[in-house]
Amino acid sequence: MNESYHYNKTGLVKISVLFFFLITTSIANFTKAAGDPAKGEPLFKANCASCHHPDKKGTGPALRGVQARWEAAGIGADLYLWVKNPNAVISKGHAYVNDLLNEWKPKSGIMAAQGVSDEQIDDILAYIESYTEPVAANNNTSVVETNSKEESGSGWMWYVILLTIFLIIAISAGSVRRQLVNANRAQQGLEELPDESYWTIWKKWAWRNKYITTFVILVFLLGGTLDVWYRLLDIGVYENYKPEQPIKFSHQLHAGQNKIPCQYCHHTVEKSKHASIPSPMLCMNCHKAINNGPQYGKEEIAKIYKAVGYDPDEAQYIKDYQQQPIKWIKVHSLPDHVFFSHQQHVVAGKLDCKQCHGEMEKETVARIMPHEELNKIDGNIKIDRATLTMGWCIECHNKTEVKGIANEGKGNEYYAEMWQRLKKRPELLKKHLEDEKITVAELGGWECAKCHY
Amino acid sequence: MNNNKTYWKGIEELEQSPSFLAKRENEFPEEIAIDEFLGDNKLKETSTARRDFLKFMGFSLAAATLAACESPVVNSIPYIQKPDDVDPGVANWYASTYYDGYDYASILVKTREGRPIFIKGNKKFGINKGAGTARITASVLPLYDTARLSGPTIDGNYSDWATVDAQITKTLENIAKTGGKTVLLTNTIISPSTLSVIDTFKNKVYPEGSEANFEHVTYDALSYSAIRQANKDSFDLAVIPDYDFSKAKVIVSISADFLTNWLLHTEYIGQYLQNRKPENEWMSRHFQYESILSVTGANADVRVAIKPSEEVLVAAAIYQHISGNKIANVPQHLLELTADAAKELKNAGNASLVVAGSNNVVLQTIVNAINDKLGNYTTTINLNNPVSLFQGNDKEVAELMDEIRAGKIKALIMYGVNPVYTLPNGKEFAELLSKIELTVSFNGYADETASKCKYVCPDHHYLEAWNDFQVKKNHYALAQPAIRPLYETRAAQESLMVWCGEAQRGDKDNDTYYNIIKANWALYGFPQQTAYTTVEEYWNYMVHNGSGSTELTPPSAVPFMADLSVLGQKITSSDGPESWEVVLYTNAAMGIGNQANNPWLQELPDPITKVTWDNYITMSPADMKELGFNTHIGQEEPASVASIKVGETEMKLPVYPQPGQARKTVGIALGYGRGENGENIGKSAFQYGQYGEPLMQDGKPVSVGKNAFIFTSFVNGYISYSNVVSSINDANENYLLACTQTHHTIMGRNSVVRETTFSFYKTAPKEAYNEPHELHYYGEHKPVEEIDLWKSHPVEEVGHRWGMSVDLNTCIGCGNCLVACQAENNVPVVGKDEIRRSRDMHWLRIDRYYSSDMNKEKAKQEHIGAISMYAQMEIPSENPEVVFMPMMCQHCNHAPCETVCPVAATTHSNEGLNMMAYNRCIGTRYCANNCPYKVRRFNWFNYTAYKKFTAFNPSQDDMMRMVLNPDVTVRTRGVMEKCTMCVQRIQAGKLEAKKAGKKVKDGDIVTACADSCPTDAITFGDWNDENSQIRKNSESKRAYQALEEVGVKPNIWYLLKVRNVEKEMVQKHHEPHTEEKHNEHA
Repeated sequence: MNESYHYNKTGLVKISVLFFFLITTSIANFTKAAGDPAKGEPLFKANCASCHHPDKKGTGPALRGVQARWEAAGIGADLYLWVKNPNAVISKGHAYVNDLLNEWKPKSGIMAAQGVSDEQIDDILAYIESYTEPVAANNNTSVVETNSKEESGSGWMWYVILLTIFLIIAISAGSVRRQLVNANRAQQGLEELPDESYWTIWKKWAWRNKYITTFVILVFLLGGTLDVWYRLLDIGVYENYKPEQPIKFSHQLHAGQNKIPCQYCHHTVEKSKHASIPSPMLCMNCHKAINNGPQYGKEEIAKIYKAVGYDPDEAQYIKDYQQQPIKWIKVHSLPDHVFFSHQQHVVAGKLDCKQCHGEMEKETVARIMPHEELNKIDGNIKIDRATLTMGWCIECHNKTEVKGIANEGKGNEYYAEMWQRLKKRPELLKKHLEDEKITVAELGGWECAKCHY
Repeated sequence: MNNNKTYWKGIEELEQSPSFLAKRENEFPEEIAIDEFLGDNKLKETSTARRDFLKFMGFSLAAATLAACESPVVNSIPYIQKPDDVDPGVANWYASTYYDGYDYASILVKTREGRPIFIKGNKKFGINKGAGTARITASVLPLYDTARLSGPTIDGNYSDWATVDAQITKTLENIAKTGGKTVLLTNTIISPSTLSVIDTFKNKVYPEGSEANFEHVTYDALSYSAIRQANKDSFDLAVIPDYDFSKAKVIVSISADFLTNWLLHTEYIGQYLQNRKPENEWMSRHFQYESILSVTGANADVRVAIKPSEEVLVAAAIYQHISGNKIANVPQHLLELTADAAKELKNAGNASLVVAGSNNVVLQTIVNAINDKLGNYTTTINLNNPVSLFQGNDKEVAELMDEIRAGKIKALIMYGVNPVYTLPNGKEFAELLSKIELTVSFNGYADETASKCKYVCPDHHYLEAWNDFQVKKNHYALAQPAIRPLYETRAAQESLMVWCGEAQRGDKDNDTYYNIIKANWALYGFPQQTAYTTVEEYWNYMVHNGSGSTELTPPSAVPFMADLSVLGQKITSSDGPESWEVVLYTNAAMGIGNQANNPWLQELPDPITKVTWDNYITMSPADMKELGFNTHIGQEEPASVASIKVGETEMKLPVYPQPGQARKTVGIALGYGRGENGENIGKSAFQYGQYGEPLMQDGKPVSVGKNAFIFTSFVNGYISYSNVVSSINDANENYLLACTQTHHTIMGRNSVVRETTFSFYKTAPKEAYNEPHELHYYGEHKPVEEIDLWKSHPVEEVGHRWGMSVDLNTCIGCGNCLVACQAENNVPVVGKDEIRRSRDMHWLRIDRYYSSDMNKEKAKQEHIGAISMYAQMEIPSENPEVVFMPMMCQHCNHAPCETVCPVAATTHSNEGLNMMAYNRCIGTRYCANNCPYKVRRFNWFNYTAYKKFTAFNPSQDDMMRMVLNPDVTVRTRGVMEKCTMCVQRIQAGKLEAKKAGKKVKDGDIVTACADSCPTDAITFGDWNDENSQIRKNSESKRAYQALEEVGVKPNIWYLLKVRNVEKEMVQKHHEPHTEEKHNEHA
């Protein structure tokens, strides 16, 4: 059902209907558990989802009906203890628990203790029981985006068609006019006008209206030059660059809807110059359990399985599989002579990801955000230069305050030392503090060898 | 008035001859070959008209331009499963050990994304205490050499391991069954686990009763087996003892180059340098007696040039002085030349050390006797802690040759040796190999020897392999892989285990040998220590540290038993002053030639001669003049080629003038001339022409240099590395040498190099030996720093101010920093032709200056005019004093290069760095012209693509480019580059400090050169940090700045050289005994 879904108005209607259906079925399930599934959903996603799925085996067993199973085994109360401290339950040595361990421990180890309260466990259990496979996403933003993209893509065609129609009308009007003139002349007994080509006629007309012609030519020349100039300025500017990626990954779904923090996947951002694209095995942390998604889920997640060699039906890795790395297309690609370090900006500079990457939680695959969009972000410095150009970098370096040295570098020995040294040159410090802050540029952030070596 | 003169342009015009009149009508006096040019019918047949052609041209130009605007699609491919410890962009360091049968060092390997890219000494663990050599630092590059064998071969054709194993096992079995003899020929194996594997192999293939049919012969290309024999004769201990240079106040070395080549030089270098700091209470005094000018000799306080045949006599003379016993007839001049050394030795008593380099039992035994008389066996020499290097037994090697000739050897397995290249009779050995039923080599290349073997079973590169080492009795070390094997290679130990049926061949990730090592360490190593409680903990720490020591047995006296009177009879007097002798030495770059395919080492200027990409005959300039050889060698001034004959062997080599070379001796470096028969040992071992085409001779590629091992010989059962020359003649040929320094003296300018003597330094005020420079200023004298053209850069006090100091006293000129810089900063290799044209790209050079007999005082006294004085200053002394001066960008605060750059591509940072933005540079080269230090380097070519450099520049090879440092840009044609003070390391270091919220500690940030310097001569740090070493060094009494008078305010300080010697002493020793004494100085 969801496979056949397309971005169009009828689709939207379908979503609404399905969504309504989903909600009602959820309500129907409400009564079964004491907890609140609405509260349970985020808890489940935060604590359990990386290993468990309600209906599918993942790193750990499928959870639907777990409470009933434990109660049937006569250890219903221990389920709460299990979640909070699995080792405590293991030491009790229940037969049911031992069976579970025999099945799961060899491949997945023992579950980690979760920091949740009993009420929260109730909520989670309620959510598990009420869970239904999501059938479609309420992904309005991408619908709009796709449509607008199509419009802008076909716009120039209309201009060509209009222009052609205009030309045809103009030419036919011209010939009609000449026939009329000739008919008139014939009536008056004059000779027919010589059969001149359009070119000669136009030349004669242009000669008669020299000023207009000159003006029009000048306008076109000037316009053309300007157009070429602006096009040249665009060389090396990749704002809105959004190549098609091997996997139709959606940041909107992962970071937006599911609120997975950026660092979970781009986890080297604080220790390396690269934020790095996650390895497929990292995806498998969750996708062992989640093998379907709202839109392209099934095919796209299958690509991860293909890369790492995982059999979702058997819920295990295929032995001796020739793994196939995924060839992503680098989007934020700086030239080789530029040294850029994520850790410098994120850890030392304390920048938020979105200050340079914009609201990725509303995007599908990565896109270079144009500076206009970035300027709209709260607290961002307004920059006139295009994103990822050198002007963009140095404009930001010029205006951004070095957070470490603000407040005399308190809390960071390095900056405290820099502040102490700066105080030895009061006149320099005074000059730096004219705008009441010490900017990156003032500490050398504009120097060539900070980025080029 | 009208001008009625007639001008005519030829006699024909004047005569108005008919042929002239006919021709006059034509525009061109001669027929133009248009038809010839256009008559080509093929051209007419083509349908492409000229206009079309222009259209196509125009279109392609436009298309190319447009295409250039498109950005290429860059792919990013993450790991399938990211290893826990590997983060893209973050370097990992692994402790390991380097040992190739010649050099030994504990090292740290830097890897990026799993690729080893940089090697340096391990400062925390290991006996070398961080010291390395150029060879060790450069050893990362051959890992990526595409000439390495990518799998086992049979008769030169690639096969697979299963086939090779099956065939070898079967042949071995047959040989063992029929009672045939198997010989394992290896270099010195210091790995306990490898020895255990060999033992297992022996016991399995030749079980009890037939052990005699298996022999393990150890053969070192550079042999020290005489030292072992001498110690056996002297103390009944066939060992190489543990030397400790740090306890010696007086060091006498008879041709032992213990700073760059002799024995365990990576350890000695640190010990020696401990006592070469004038800030200490005392400095060691170092006497060197040698024929060639070695790096060690260049650093000696007193150096005496002797002939190789005089070495024994020098030792005998010293013994005579010390003990009063005459053991041989020593000529009077040698007694005089050794008097001071002997006196000093006697005074120092057991705080002294005498060492000798030659593989000569008589010499080594006398040296033992001297050390015994001085009491050094209880202090500086430890017989209880023998060194396991160089166990080669020359006699056994000679016997092996006889046995092969006699057809007794049925199987020969060779590991780590290349006898076809290194044996004096290597050619014969190559022929003999065909007589043996089974020949196997473990070499990683199809080299001189391996290519003659039936089977080649390539071993891993050492960076891909596990191994262990026991370099001394009390010191163990481990080597761990820093990368998964690149090719289908297999550890030699595993091969042996497979062939004797003790292991199964899996794939290249097999851990057979790893398990053996681990088991051995658990069994033998673990019980010997108490620091770790479990085997696992012990093992992990050992892998992490790379090495560990057990308790040291202190030295104790052993009675000296050799009979010197018998020895004395063996000393034949030297062949007389008239005979020529040749010394075969190993230089700092090539060693014994294991890495002849390493372009970094080939391009490393020899520390002394500064010649790259060649070996040559070194000869005293005075001798050269007598023989009529060209003594001035330059870009277009070739060296004369001499034809030198030793015994019946003849070789042609260029002659290089070497001040300090003993008269009537010549020196030739070993390790060159690899791949003489065109063996595929790596492209950089061969020579290339001006356009990168391989130079060919008789259908074979021409090697770099010539193989001098053919001049070695077996003398009394020992391989001798000096020999008598039968003849040396002018071959009437010329040969261009690529030399990075063609001027040799400092011409009396003390603003470049300053030096003083130890006693003067200790007693005189600073001004007396380190005079500050003053300038004339409107009739008065003012210090340089008070006169300025520019506003000063605000680098002092504020922020950081990166500075460097170079101690000329501890810099020994070895060139390790240069290779480290090349590896760290992706400096291209430009090849011999470009080096010759002075287009070397090294960011750091080491200037080597010789002293001259002429100086300003002398000229004044003797009324010598300025022109003649300077002319004479250019000529180095016959036995000069030497000073090494590392020279790199001085990061001037008033940099002359910055002011002349028209595009502001080179600017100053507020941290005192002189920055270079390659992408701004338009290549005017004004900056290079304006640099007083001449340290800027221009990219004349696109070294990463142009065919001239394809063969040797690492960045042109798909494999070798993996060695490039991803943090540093690879520069392109037309831009200037120079030392950046490793700004990438500075930036990374600051970031670490910011992240941790800590100050940058002194020593947190070091440049590659300082990092790799084995003597810590280079100090790098933040001058604004008042407690930093660099601040202290800059305020030292010895600190001065090069060319201070030009007022460019460098951020680099030099610490002047202090020689522990009195002037008179130098004069006495440095004057050649064959000439009459000068008396000008008296």
